[in-house]
Amino acid sequence: MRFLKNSSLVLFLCLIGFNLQAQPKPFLEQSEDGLVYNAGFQYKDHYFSGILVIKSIENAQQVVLLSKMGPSILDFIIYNNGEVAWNKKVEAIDKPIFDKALIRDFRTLLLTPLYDPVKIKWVGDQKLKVKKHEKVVITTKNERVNASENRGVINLFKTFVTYAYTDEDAIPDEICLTHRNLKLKIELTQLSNE
Amino acid sequence: MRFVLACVVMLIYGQAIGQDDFELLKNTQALKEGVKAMAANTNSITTAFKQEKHISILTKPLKSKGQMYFKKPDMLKWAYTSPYDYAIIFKAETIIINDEGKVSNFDLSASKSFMEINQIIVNSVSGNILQEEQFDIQYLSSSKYYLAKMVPKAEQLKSYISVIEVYIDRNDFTVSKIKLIEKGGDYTLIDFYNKSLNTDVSDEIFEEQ
Repeated sequence: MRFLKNSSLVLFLCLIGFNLQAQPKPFLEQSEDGLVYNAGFQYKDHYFSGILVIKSIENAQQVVLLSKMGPSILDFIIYNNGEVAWNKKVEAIDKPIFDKALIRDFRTLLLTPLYDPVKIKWVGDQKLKVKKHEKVVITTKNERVNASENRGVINLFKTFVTYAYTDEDAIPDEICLTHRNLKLKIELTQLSNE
Repeated sequence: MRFVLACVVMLIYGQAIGQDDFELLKNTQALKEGVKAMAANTNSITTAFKQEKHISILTKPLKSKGQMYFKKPDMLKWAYTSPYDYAIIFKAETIIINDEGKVSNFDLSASKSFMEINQIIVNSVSGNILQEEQFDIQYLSSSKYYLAKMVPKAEQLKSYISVIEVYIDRNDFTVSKIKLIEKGGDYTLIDFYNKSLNTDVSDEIFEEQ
């Protein structure tokens, strides 16, 4: 009887252990001062580059894209409750369809569903499905995020993001965002702001 | 002893304040004539620059540096060398960008905003800066600089930049610093140093393969 009790306890603890597998933290949480990336945007044959600044602020993440000559091009905030606030957007890209796609891309890239997720489910040891305002599938290795992709019932232009690391911390040194059925690619390389 | 200490403190404080102690310039004739003569007599400029981008979400400014070339009548190249290799060339009605080997060309005539920004940049660098028909300008001066605070008149430009501050060296009337202040207070400060005027600048500098 005692053997059965002990076995059940061990089994229970194992099950709990599986369910309590460490949830990865959004990488922006690792940097109080924000992160700066050299950003390259490739759309078909057109190429544009700038400086991307991303920062975790109170209950939100702020994204600012600057031209290399200085003036900012985009500035918006994605709140954890799902709202988005635009501080700046240049006239040429001021279109609702563009806004929607951009926000969806950055939600996937910044792993925003990991902030207070509605539902989270591990699929095996390295993959987890996270649901919030977007459904995102995240692949991890050694507690660092390797890839993320958004999911949806109708998702023609699915977003795929990969994260690469050159050191030991959990801040990606290189990020690459691509789409299904759309030749738009964003490549980010971290810049030191010392 | 207290008196000496007070004098030293006042002297240091006075000097620190004095560096940025601008006063309203009542007579602008000398400045305008000096700038006009400098622009007329300058065929080329080569200068190093340091750029600082101050944005409210970062505690430290984003720093970059490089080399700028200008050749009359309208060829201008900004070549950033750190922390990235990036060159932007304004040549007549074309912009050429070389971004770490990726070269793109843009026709400026297709975008009015870009044309205006290009004209401001070329004018700022060449000395033909004090465009009173396009800006409301307030003139100030300190011991080292003249300062022109330029507020754009055109609504479209105002939506990008609220004020352009141009610091002009009192000795040679060349532009020493430019501060581009955006709506909301973020700003870009460009500081020019090691300036050379009228040296031989090859046309090849303004070409990118």
